[in-house]
Formats: sequence, structure tokens, C-alpha cells
Amino acid sequence: MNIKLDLGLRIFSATAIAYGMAVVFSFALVPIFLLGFSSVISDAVYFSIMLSYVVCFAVAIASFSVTSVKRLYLSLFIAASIGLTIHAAFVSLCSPSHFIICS
Amino acid sequence: MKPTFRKSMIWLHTYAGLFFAWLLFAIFLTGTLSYYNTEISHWMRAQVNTNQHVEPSANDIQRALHTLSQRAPEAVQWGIDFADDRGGPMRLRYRTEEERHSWTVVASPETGTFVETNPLETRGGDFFRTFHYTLSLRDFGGRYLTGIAAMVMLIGVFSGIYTHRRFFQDFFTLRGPDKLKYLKDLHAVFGVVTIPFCFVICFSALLIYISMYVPFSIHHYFDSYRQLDSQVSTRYSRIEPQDDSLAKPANIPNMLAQLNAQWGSGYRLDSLSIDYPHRENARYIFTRDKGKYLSNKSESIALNHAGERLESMPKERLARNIRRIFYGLHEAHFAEPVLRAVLFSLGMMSSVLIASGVSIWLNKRQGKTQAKKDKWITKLHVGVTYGLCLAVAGYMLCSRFVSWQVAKGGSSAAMHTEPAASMNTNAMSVMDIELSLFFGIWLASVIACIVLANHLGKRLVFLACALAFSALFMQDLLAKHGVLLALQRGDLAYLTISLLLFLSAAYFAVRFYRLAINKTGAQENDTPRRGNKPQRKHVEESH
Amino acid sequence: MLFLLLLSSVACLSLAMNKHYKACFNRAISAPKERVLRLLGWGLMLVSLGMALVQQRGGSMGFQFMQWCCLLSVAIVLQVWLLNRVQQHKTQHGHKANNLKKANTRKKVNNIKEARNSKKTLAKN
Repeated sequence: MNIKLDLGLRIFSATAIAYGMAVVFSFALVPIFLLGFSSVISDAVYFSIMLSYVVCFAVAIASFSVTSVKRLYLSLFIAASIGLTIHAAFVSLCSPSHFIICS
Repeated sequence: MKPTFRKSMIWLHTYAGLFFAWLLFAIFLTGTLSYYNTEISHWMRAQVNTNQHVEPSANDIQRALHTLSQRAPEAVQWGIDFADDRGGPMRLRYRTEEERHSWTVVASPETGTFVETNPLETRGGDFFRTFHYTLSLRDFGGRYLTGIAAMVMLIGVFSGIYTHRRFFQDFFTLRGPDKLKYLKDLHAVFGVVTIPFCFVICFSALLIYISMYVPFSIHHYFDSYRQLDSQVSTRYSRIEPQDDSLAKPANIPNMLAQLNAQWGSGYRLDSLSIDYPHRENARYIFTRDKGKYLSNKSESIALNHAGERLESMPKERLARNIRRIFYGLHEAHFAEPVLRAVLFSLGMMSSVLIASGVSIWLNKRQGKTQAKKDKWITKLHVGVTYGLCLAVAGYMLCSRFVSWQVAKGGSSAAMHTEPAASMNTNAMSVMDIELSLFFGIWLASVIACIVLANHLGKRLVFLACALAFSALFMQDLLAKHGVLLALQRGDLAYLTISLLLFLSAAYFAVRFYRLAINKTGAQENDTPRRGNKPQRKHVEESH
Repeated sequence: MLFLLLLSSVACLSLAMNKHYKACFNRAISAPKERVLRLLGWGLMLVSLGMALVQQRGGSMGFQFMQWCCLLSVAIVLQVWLLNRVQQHKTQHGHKANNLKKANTRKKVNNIKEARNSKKTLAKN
């Protein structure tokens, strides 16, 4: 693909998609903290947002360092899917009825 | 993207840095100035408000409580914010069901009580603080912009590490005469030295507004951020006032003894707030200074009127504490004068780092055929960076002018008794004038640099900065409430600002002189600074 | 006190580099000396870090560590500036000496070249 398209896609990935991944992981990390570290729901949300900044940063750096754009987008898509699956799988765990147990 | 990881990082560093350089420079410069926000406010108000920091004694507290009881006997909460050692004034406040009030006071030796004083109506140093995270665009999402800038700075610092080719061999190198080499080495040295500083500042900036930047999961799991906050942050439990009970007199000496027992002797009292002061079960909450703890929540003790300990706040868990520590690191309230000066110099180095990055890029392109846009960017660069320095000087000059007017208009006794600021009779209040002056000067210098030829614009801005800072410093030296009085009283806050003004004036004078004597037309840019150390306390240092 | 310790450790580490040692002392650094300076430098730095962390006068360890990092940054900048000054001082005052040196080495190189050339011509003949 030509250079301009390549550059455009990378910039889009480093800005919009990086932010999107941060959002996805701010959801996906919550069950991980709830189950893995047995945090309270409020702490889990806190930690996951703090780590989502790291995710955003990593995606921004990766957008410009991965050699092929196709591979970049593919891996980001897979990562996002994994994140959303984790969130969907455990969302029942964190539903309001479980709040009393979670918090 | 590029053949190697390193080359991609160089590309990223260059372009991410370039696009956000000016915004980041403005944020870092005003942010660095806000390390001294209380000192700047104190300096601005010095002529009108001669506050002196004194450790509050039991007597002072008693008198303050008496003042409050006269002013608001039936309040829900009283508060005393004690004067701090950075020049911050003492304030009293109260809160009723409907309203809140707070006012600055000063000890009046004649009446023996605390009398309301009318501080100069100015934003003071807090303008720089709020500017650096809102860009004065509070209602237009300024904080989002600064958040993006913080993330870009993190990317810039990280990619910069890879850009720096011989990281360890050139660790201490600073090559002299050649301008481009000098700039590159300066950029490298400052970059390396401020890696931890920039990382902490930028990451903590993102953490401070954790409710704003990625809020979606908060709103998914909670009703609002406030609900989340109520579950992570701890506070003193609400107490209900015992009706039909009269307040017992507060045993202040006993209370102070309790504080000394708990905190030793090296603390400074920050504030005292009293819940339901007119009832028997009034709760006295003493808060101390941040001391040498990084968290942005300072320790406090709750006592009853007799000085006995009441139930304390439960400790917060790890997640909240991590954010508190980063928040505390960012604000640096714990910094005593030497550490504050070091942090200030690190902040200045970061500002120079950002500005020198743009200069390097511009210098590199000078070798090639200079496109029109490069000329424009060079001019804009000078205008934006040095223009901001000039705007800061103008802002401080404005406050000096205003305080001179006020001092001319009335005696200090008059200032103590008049409730409303007499300066508010203008259609535009002083604060609006300050703001307009700040942005006006900034814009004017940008325009001047665009309109004039490159070397002329630079000389003009340097001259203006040198004159402005010299005027400020000279006025300081000669004024009645200036440096000499501060030296007498040991007013460190005031002296710090005076010293910074002197250093800025010296710096710009030297730069202007070097520019002015450089007569070779070929060299459009200024001569490199030979051996003029990028001093620790050099203010507004940038290329 | 801590700052002085840090500064000396940084100075040692920097002088352990050939480039800066040459600039200060006008001759290349020798391997054993380099090792000594490096050990001394890192050693002093560890000592200063230990001192900083152990100090109970101040607050938490985190605070002491942060203060140590800030002082380290300032020490590095100060050392860079000092080295820069030394370099400039040397170039300004040592210019004449350097020119002589350069002329001498040029002569030497020319002599060697001539000797080589004459050897070659001899070999050819």
C-alpha cells in the first residue's frame, strides 16, 4: 500500500484505536482484578483504569513500530476481541445483584 | 514502519514532539511556575497585605474561634486555615445550611483578634496552576487537551530514549561552539536527566483526572464517579448534632498536647475544622501539613472539646493510595524550599527540553533549502516560547501596578476595614485585566515575531523580556515592602520570587546582548551560549 | 552532604570515560585506573542511596528515594556543565599547544609516509 495510506492508518491506530483499546481494557481488566487479585469492585475499576493508560501507550508505540500495518490491525483486533470476551463472560459476575458480594 | 525499531521511534519522536511542542511548552512552563504559586501570590500581595507566618499558638486558635463565634454562631461547620511557610495567608471560613463564607484574616495587634483583611484582588500564582491543566478553557474541555498532551509527552520521552544514539557514551557530553551540536547535546542531557521527573509528572497527570479520561467503565459499574469515590476514599463519619446542648469551651492546650503526642514536634498545623461548634458534641479535626509523605491526603486527628481522641478515619486501600501518592508527587506539597527549588529547576529543564527539540528540527532544516513554512515556524517558535515568558513578566507587572494603585489610594488601615475591594469599581475587574494582559502580550509577541524579520523579532522579544524582568526586580529592590523588608523578616517566599526575577532579568539581558553583538548577517540565529550554565534556577530558559 | 557524595560519585563515573578523562588530564585513561574510578563511582552512589533510604529524619522511604533521584539529576547536570567549562578552558588556553602538537604529529606522519614510500621504491628497484 502506498506510504500515505500506511501513515494514515498508523496515525489512526495510534490515536483512535489506542484510546479504544484503553476503553476495552478498562472493562476487561476489571474481572481479572476481581478474580485474580480478589479486589473489591471499586478497587478493580480503579486499577483497570490506571492500567488502561499503559495499554493506550503501548498501542501508540506499537502502531509505529510493527512492520506491517496488516499485522498491526490484526493483532489489535484479536486483542480487542479477547478483551471484550473477558468482559462479556464475566459481566454477570459484576452485575448489580452481585455488588453486595463484590464490594 | 521504518526498517528498524529505532528508526520508527526517531520518526515518532520527531513528529509527535513537533505537533505538541508548543502546547507542551506552555503547560510545562506554567506548571513549573505553579511550584511557586503560593510564593507568587504572596509576592504579588506583599505591598498591600503584610502577612507574616507565625506558628499558631493556643491563644491564636482561641482568638480565631472567638472571631468565628461572633461572625457565625449557628454554623454547621467552622474552619481555620492557618498561614503556611510559603506565604499563604490565614483564612477563616464557615458553612451553614445555605451558604459558605471564607475570608482572609490578619492578626491585628491593636484589638488582639483576627481582623478581616482585604487581599489584593488578583488571581496570583494560582493562575499559572489552573492554566497548566485547563489552558483557561475550563468549560471547553481544556483538561482533555492537557491529558492528551500528557500522553504524548510520555510517548515522546520513551521514543526519545531510543532516539539518543550513544546513550551511555554521550551521557556527560556537551559540545561547545557548533550550535546544532550544542542544542542536540543539551536536549539529550536534559532529556536523560528529566526522564523520571517527566514520567512521574505525566503519568500522575493522567491519574489525577481518572474520572475524566476513560470514564466508561466507571459509568458501567457505578452510577457516577462520586459513588465510586465514596467507596474508595475514606472520610470522617457524619455526626449528628446533639440538640438542646450547649457547646462546652474548647480545651485548646490539651488538644495541642494531644497533637504533639501523636505527631511529635516537627509538624506544622494546616487547618482546623469544627463540626457543629455550638453543640456539646462538637468535633475538632486538626489537619497537619503533608510533611515528608508523598500522599496528597495529610494526616488528621479528631478530638472532642476536652481534647480526647475521637474515632479516626479508616485507612484507604492500595488502589486509592497509589493514586494519592502519584497525586502528591505531582503537586509536591511536601517539598521544602531546597527540594522545591530542585523540582523547579527540573521543570525548567523539561521546558527547555521541549523548546530545544523544535530548535533542533528547525536548525537541521536550515541546511537544506529553507521552505517558507520553515521560516514561519521559526518565527512562530520564537514568538510562542519567548512570548510566553514575556506574558508571565507582564502578568506580574500588572499586579505590581495594581497594588501600587491600591497602596496609593488608601492606607493599610483602610484596607483592613473595607469589606469590598475598592478596585472593583471598574467595569472590568482586575482579574479580567490580568487575564487579557497575559494573553494579549503573548499574542502581541507572536504577531510581532511574524511581522518582523527573524532576527529583529528575536531581539525585540529578548529586549522586552529583559526590560520587564529588570523593571520587576528593580521595583522589588527599591520598594518599601520589597526585598529589604523581606530580608529583615526572613520572608523566604518573597525572596525566592525576587531571586527568580533577578535570574530571569540576567538571563534575558545576556541573551539579548549576545544577539545584539552578533553582527554577521549570515547567522540568523543567536550565538551558542558559551559556558553560560543552564543554571538550576534559571527561569524561562528556552531556545 | 548527600549531594556532595552524589556529585563526587557522578564525577568519578564520568571521568572513568576516556573522552572526559582525556579532556581533564590530557592523557588517555589506563585500564586499571578506569576500573578503580568506575568502582568508586558506583560505590559512592550506592552509599549515598543507602544513606538516603536509611535516614529516619524524613518521611517514608519513597520520599527519600524521590529526593535522592532529584539530587542525582541535578548532580549530573552540574557535572556536565563543569566538564563543558573545563573543555572550553582547555580549548581556549591549549589552542597554541595543540597547534604545535598537531604540527609535530603532521611532521611525524609525513616522515613515516616518506619512509614507507622510500621502502616501496627500494623494493621495486
